[in-house]
Amino acid sequence: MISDTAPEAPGENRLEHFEFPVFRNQREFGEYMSDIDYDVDRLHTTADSVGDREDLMAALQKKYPELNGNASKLVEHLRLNHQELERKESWFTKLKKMPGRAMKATWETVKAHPYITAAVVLGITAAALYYTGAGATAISWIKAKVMGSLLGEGVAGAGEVVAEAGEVVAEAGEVAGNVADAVGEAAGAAGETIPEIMEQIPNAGNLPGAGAGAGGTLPTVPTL
Amino acid sequence: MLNTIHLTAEEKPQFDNFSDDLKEGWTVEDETIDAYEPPEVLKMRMQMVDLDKYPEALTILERLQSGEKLMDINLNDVGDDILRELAFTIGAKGMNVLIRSVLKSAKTDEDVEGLAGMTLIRHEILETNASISYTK
Repeated sequence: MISDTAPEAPGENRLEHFEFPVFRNQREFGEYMSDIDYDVDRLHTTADSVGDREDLMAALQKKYPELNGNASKLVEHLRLNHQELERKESWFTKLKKMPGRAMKATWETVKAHPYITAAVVLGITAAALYYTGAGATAISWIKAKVMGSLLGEGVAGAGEVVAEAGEVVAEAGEVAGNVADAVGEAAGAAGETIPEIMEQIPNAGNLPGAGAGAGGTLPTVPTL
Repeated sequence: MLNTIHLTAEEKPQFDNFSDDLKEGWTVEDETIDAYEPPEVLKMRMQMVDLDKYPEALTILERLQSGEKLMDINLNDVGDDILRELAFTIGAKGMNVLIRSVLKSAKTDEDVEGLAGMTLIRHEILETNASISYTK
């Protein structure tokens, strides 16, 4: 089990110390639900059944008094976690029925194209960062890498990644407009998922000379 | 056997522009499922990622952390098995990125075969997304 910082709640309901758990497999999830004495099979009826939902919220509130009225958010979080565990299990089952060649051919093509390779390397890196517990830091770090690829080492090194993205883009005045736009998109608050950041990769390396390519000083990330 | 390419309506014209030699032997099916992952699902999948079996992913992270350039890292030492975990984690949305790139750059039969593989992976993930949906 790993923990996720709870979504920010407004006003007095804000959670100060409680971290929402994230489970990587059904066994851990089942143990958690068993620990709060709630049948996991009832979890997804909480959308339709007020009684089931209230029972679960009460069980969570009893187990974690520090939830301070945010049990409803935790219910939704657990439902999403369980949904994705079930989807992942289903995906692994489907994989067994897929032609074996599909994965191999896909991988060979990924490796044959530098920008696709880079996009996949970013995806793997993001996954590794989350796996090692970097959490939200991962997104900023990945953005730094993409921005480094787009703008060159000096600019990426000077920037504080997302918060100062506007300044970074402004500094890139001499860079072609489409590249600056791409950086703006990469750093924009709206594009917070890895696929959206991966999308920027085809623009990487467009700059001539040694400045092209990712680099620069990177934000601190957890050591392995 | 891998002989079908699942393409969206937006992607089909790009495939149609491929040379006849590249298109030969492939059947195109419409990708009509649009159960793409919202940001909260992708974030959850990232948090759920399990790399126990893929230490090479951590090696890549170490290399980037040590300052190596993104474009200098290849995947020659990484087996295709990592796609099991990665494809689900980046989701159909992430597979779209790869598919769009191949549609723009495919030049060989191997590229088209890879495209078929990617679209099949996306199709299966979309089917999974559509068939299991508990949240609003």
